[in-house]
Amino acid sequence: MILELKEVHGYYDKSHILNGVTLSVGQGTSVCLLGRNGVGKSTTMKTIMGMLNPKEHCKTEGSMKFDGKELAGMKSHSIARLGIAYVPQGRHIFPTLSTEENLKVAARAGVDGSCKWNLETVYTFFPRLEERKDSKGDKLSGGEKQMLAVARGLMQNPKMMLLDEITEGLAPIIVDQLASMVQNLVAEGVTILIAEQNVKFAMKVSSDCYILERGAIVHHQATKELTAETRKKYLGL
Amino acid sequence: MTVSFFFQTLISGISNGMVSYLMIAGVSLIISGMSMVNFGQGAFYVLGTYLTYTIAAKIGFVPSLILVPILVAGIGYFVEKATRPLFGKDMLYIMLLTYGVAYMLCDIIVMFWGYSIRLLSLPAFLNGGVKIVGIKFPVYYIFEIVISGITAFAFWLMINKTKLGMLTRAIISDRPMVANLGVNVNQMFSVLFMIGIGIAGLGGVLNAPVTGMSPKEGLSIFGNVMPILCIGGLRNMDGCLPAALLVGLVNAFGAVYLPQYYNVLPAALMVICMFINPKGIFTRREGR
Repeated sequence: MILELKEVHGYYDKSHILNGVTLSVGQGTSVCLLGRNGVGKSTTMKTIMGMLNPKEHCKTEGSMKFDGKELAGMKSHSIARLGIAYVPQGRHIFPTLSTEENLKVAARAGVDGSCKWNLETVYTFFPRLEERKDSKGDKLSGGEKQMLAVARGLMQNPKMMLLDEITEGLAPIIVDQLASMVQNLVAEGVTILIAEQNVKFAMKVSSDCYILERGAIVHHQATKELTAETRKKYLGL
Repeated sequence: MTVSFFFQTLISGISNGMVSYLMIAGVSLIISGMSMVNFGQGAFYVLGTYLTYTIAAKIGFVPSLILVPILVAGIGYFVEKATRPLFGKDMLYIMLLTYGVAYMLCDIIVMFWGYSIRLLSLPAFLNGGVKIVGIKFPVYYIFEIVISGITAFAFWLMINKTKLGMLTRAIISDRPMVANLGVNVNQMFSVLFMIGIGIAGLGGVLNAPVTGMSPKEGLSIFGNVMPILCIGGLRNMDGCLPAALLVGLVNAFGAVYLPQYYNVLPAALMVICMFINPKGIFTRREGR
């Protein structure tokens, strides 16, 4: 397993958001974290990235191992440098930087020294971004911003990507494009943990899924085997 | 006003503006990148001037142009480390702390150099005047413009063409995301602070042969250049140069035409500009 979370608890001040999350992600697989709004999917992602900062009255407990290294207590930049690229909910594109600058700013060789993902390969993967390379981040459409957010993650040549609600607010046609993009990434050997509310999307792009409810994993199954009953029970669909 | 006097006043205004730019560019960089108003900038500027008095006497003025900014930046490194625990807290704490640092620096200058106002004599090649299309200009003014111009260009290149500059612009809008890209934001703050302070130190070196300075001016000089910061835009690094030139010219021509109002002109200009656009008249509406 490349990522293993054991009994992870997360707190925002006095609010106990994660109640002992345990999950694992295998090398080269795509795993999905499903759940309704506010169950702790994004908090799980932020916890993995070390973003629950004690200075902001946040706290994390439990064990999080990535590639055998304990993440708990590490700072965000050190976690990213282990080979985890985080694509946050809301995209967080730098608005005053051009598309190309948004990519260049993230460019880094992977932990193994590989530079497989660079401007050229990213533009081949996302030709639309090359067409918009001089446009400022805040001038891009929602779909373009999402592509850029994923491409920016790839520029770090990561071992693993955390994709947080990447389909949020996008038209169905764009969601379909994103699904094939994630499938292609998995085919390229990138390990992916994806937080989603969109079950159809999750079923297309992931092999395994965990369902979160009130900050705890309540169900774990191969995504394709998710029954209508399970979906109705946990996701209200 | 004769044509030659007009051009001499123009060059004097530009050179004053360019030296003020060196101080304010660093302030703007630190505000933009670190969300920190460094009230101690004036003290670092004066420290640059006083270090030049001592170092230029030993190794000459031109090498001081390189060595003194590096020394001042090195001192800035420790000041940044000392102020770091207050980062992310109320900006008022940082303002008071940096003002306190300015007081301490000024007293340290007094400890080493005393209260007496000094003036560095110009190296021979920078003395005297040079004739350009029949008009005589002081060589040192031209030298100040060239050195400050090169620094301004290098600063522009750094902000707009290097990864550090991109990260500086990125951090203005989204500091956590920059950290998520694997960038050690604290280390980056140290580098930005040192660059900002080092540029002020360079301004201090250029000032050494022109104006005799009291060590305590480190406290008041920041107030003198504050109008430049507000006119250019607090978080607009590109606005510093035109604002500094504008204030330099207003000062130079104001001294000729409105000598009785000379002191109030930059502040009045700042108030007018802030009514026009509080974010600075050189700030583009759509972004940075």
